[in-house]
Amino acid sequence: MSGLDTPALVIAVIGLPAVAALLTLLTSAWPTVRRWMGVLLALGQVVLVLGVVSVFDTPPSERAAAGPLTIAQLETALPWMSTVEPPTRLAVDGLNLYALLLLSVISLLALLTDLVDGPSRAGLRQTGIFGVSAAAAGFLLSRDLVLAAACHGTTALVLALVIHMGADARPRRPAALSFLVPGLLASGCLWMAAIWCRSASDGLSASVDALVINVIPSGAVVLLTLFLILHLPLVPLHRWQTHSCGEGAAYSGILLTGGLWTILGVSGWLRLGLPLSVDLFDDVAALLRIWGGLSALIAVAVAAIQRDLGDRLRWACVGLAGLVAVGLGSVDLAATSGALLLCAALGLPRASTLCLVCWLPAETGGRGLALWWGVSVLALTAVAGFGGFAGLLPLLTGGSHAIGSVVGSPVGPTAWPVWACLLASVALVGVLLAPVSGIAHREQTTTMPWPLRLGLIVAVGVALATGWQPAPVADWVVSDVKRILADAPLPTEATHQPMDEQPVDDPEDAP
Amino acid sequence: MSHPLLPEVLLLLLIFVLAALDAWMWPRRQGRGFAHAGFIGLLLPLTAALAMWGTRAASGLPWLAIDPYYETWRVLLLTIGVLMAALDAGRRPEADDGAETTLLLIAVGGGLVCIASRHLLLTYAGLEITALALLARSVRQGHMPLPPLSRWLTAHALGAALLLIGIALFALGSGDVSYDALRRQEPGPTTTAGGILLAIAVCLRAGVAPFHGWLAPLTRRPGQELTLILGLGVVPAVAVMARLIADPLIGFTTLPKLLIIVGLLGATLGNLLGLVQRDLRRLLAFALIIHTGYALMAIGATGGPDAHLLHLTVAALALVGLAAATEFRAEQITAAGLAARRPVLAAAVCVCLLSLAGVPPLLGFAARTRLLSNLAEFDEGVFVIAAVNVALTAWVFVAASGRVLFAPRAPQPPPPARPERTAVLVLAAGVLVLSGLWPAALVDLMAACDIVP
Repeated sequence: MSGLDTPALVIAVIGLPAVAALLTLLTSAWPTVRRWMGVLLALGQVVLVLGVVSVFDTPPSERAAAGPLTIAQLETALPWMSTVEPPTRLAVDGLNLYALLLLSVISLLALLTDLVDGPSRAGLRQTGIFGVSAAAAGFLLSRDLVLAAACHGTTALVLALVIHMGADARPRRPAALSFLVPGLLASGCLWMAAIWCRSASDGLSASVDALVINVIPSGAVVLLTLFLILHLPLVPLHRWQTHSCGEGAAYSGILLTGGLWTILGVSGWLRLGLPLSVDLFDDVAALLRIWGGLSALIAVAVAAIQRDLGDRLRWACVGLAGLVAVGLGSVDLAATSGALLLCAALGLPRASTLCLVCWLPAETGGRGLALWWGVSVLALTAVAGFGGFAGLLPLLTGGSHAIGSVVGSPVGPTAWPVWACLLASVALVGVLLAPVSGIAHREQTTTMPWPLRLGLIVAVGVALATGWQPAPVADWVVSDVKRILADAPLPTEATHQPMDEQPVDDPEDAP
Repeated sequence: MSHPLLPEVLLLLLIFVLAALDAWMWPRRQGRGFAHAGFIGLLLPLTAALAMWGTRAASGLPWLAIDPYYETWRVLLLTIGVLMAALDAGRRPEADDGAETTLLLIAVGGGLVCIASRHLLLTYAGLEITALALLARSVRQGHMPLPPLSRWLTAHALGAALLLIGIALFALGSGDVSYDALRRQEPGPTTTAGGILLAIAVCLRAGVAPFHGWLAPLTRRPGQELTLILGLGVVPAVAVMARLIADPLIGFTTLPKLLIIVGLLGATLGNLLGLVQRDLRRLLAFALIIHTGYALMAIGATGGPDAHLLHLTVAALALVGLAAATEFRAEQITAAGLAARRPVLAAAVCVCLLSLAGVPPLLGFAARTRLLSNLAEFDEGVFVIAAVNVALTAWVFVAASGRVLFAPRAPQPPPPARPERTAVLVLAAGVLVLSGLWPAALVDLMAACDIVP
């Protein structure tokens, strides 16, 4: 099976969870049927994404993209907003492939974890989980900014509903609203930027492939940068991380938010935002470095003084987002690839640990729980041997090299964000490991629900596997990041052709 | 089944039949028989209109334009009529007044006349028929307090006067006030004054800020009546405005810019008032002011009819859905905490509110996208101001839906809904969701509507 003749797979990756959501609604009256059907369909989605992975051409050596873009594979056209305009395109590339895999696994885990929240409104939550999965897949696959914004907004809306539909006894409003407002704001930023860019170009297509050959208004670049910052999250726009994953949210909502939201933003920005920001590359990069470094320091300091375990963890997640921002702003192949790898590797550990801490009663502890906490924290803080380390190491080394090459010395005055990252990453290990002894010395009064335990096992297993064998994921990412950062010479409109019609270079035809 | 005026003929027949039935059955009017008859009867023209939608038939009549633009409006107006008739049928058991159904049909017919008209006098007649039918229906139905009645009448009379003066000024110029004759006129001082008066008169009918004063007191009326007035009174006026700007007044280059200013003013005012509003019924009125503002901006930007058509479609469907979902009473209605008692009802209310907010995956998102695209190509400054307004609108209606979902349980449960109301609610919410998920078909149909036949 060739990687170019199976575009139906891409449609199926979106369509299957959408159909699953509909079927879940229809079978709400029969909980057993609904649950088993949900699990089977979620497994089917994992299999589908594995199929996409199997047909993915790594590295995409034969193909070229028009400008600093990721190389699209399994392309398919979709006349979504209008049939008379150029159709929107869905495609897989090196930057969304791992995110798709993560999405399918987290959707399955969320479905299982949802059992912890009990039977009340479980049907609606399951519908929401599949809705989030379909919309997020649409966002990840879209190369059209308007469609991406629509899918992003849908994801935010449905995810807020899933968070909201937690247990009745807990306060739910702050969690859902804290997530929804910045989520929709990020969607709005992407949407406005899409319309602005489209009007500045031919006025017809909002596809990144068409927009990249035009001059992009600086206001649109600002909006795209804000989209990323809202997603990471950076202080002071961090409330969705510290509030929506907190008290009152549904476990499935926490899992989806903690595992997906940041990687959606980073992958989306790298695929759709960064190629359009090349004219203001330096300014955007400097902003990300400085903001990310400051945010990481502040978040780690705040995390260190938190007495509540959940607050400490959530602030630590904000600190980790600062590291990712510095990596993205370093404009270096190693650092930017490392930032994406770090972000992808932290998805599962962050999601499962946030669920664990949300469940963990204050008086409960024991050696088993302490062990789980310790291992999860090690995976989350990207220590050596876990998947995050394969991202953190190139992030730090690449970042210091890139900034040093700009100012002439690796320890120059603008290198401080990298040093801040180094300091923050070391401090985070201590901040999060400190409560281990406290948990171990508490008496064990209750056992961890099996879905949470399963989530932790999967998260730690994946972190270990990608920590010892990071090459496959890195291979997907590096070639596309290299292409974007190389800032390939932009072709003129006259020479721009769709990729399938790209002429084959023939030395005999050369003048 | 292919004559372009078939839906109108069916509608006319239905009005006569219902009027006759009303006269004949006067002593025995119990139940909801007339409302059901009106509902089923309106379905006939709607079905015929849907079958003919997009076929590009020509009327052959000089004063009536049976073009794709009119066909789209016909479908929309008949849909509103059908849904309102279903709401009528879903009211609590009471004396069934056949006159109310007849007046509803007359209002729909008047709307169709003014949208199709290609003669200023016919436009005037259509607007008058609609407004008078709605006014008579409201007066018959209940206890209209004096302030809203007097304000509405004043605005109505003022609008009629301005419209007639404007027509007279145009007639002074050429003696003929058909659209074809007006298009050939050179803009002069008299005709410019006439054009401005026409625009003001239509804005007055559409309730656009700063001519929206008559709308506010009406918000004390029950939601169904308010929606009827807004849906059938305001919507045709906007269609007339689009037709006037694109066809007979095309030579008046200042009018589109004026419309954009008025539209921006309306949207901004509606948003600012909506920010502090908790009463859902008043929010409906502001929703229409905001959406009419957006529609006027789309007309002024002259980037294609789909933007203003989509906005009014969203507004009409959402308002009808909200009227169906909520049992409006005289006191303040917030619908806060509705989700705790009636989750399905709350979900439908949220779909309508979020569609007004312009949030994906609902139809409002497609409407906003088309509007902002047109404005971005028209002028960057206008685009930025409109974008801020769009964000404010989203905030207003997302916050309203947040209150429905997140507020504590309401002290008194809402009364049970009848099947007719539930059907209207499900239909409106379903159309908003489905057409929002895949807007291509609707957008293409609306974008292909040529205003000038």
